[in-house]
Amino acid sequence: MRNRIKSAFDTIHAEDSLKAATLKRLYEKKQDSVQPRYHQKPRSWVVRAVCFVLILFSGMFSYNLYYTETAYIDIDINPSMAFTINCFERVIDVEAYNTEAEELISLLNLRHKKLDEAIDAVITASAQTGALQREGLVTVTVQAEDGNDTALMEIIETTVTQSASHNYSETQIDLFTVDCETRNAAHDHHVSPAKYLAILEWQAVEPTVTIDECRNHSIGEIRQMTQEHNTSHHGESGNHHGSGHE
Amino acid sequence: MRTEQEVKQALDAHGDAVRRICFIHLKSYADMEDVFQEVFLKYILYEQSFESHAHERAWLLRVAINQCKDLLKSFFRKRVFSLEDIDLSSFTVPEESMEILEAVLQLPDKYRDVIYLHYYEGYSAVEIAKMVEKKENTIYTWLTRARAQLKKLLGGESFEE
Repeated sequence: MRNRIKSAFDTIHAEDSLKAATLKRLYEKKQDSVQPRYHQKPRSWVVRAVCFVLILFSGMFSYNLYYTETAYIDIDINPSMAFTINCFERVIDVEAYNTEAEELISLLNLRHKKLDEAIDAVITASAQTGALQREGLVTVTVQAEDGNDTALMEIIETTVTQSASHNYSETQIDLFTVDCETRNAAHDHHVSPAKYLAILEWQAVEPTVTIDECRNHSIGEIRQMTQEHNTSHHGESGNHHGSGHE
Repeated sequence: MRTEQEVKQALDAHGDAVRRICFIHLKSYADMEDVFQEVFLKYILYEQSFESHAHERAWLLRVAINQCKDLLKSFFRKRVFSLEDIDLSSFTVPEESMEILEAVLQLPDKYRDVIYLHYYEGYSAVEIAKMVEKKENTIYTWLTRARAQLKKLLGGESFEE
């Protein structure tokens, strides 16, 4: 039996092509291993270093680009808050002007949302709390760093209208741009630019009113008080003139 | 590192034996070629000297068996196959030898090794035990069982030494 197994296995042998391929591969391996390492190493390190620097710089560039402020949107419903927007129209910072806004911001995850999604979330939440129905007015101011505020205003107007309509609220939108000085002055008093301008209008007819007294009033209330003061003042002066003539 | 001349000599002297170990374990030519080349790559890098020609052959056979085992550890590789799965175009295999080889390939891996090492290479059970790092008694058992299975596969023919 041994002979039969022997003669069977004798038919199997290493092919010449296999031996030649093996010698070739071994020769190549040998050549690789005798190559001085300093020919390869620096090149691979340079490539790695360049890749690392490129990745680092692109990361830093992207980070800087993302966190560069391009516009400021202040929304007043009461809640009252300010969004800082980047060039991708994403919210990179949110600031509350009053406690209602603080509560809302803590509930809604507004940071890094697209501007329209953030506005929609605020309008929907305000509709649910009843603030939107109570005021019936959304005042939004825009201050764009590059002056290109038309596109942002279109987004805001469309979003507020659609969102209010989805929440079955009849809402009036008051949307306008403000300059940097007005916004800075409003921020110094920790009120939104729209409320600041409304207070200034009231102070024009009633100089004894202070900003702190008006802080907790909604813009609608401030405008109404200004209107009422105007009406009563005209009425009084009309009566006075009338009596004078008499 | 060994010289090219030494590798050529080893290939001529032991290439067939390594090829046969690959033959009984591996179905694919590509796998066989990888293992074959890897065995001689290990040989070229092996720093120590061999006591004799036989020592060198035994070392190469052990490396070949281990390389095949490592490759076959992969779950997806089929461990049992038949002669039909192998490209035999490079070999002239008579009908009787085909029958024997087919029967050997039907055996479990460990039995194929002991049959080849014992019947072809002429190693004793003690030598095989050292080579595959198993107990002597285990090798005796494997040889007995392998013989019995071969007998059955080949239609009851005897396997007397």
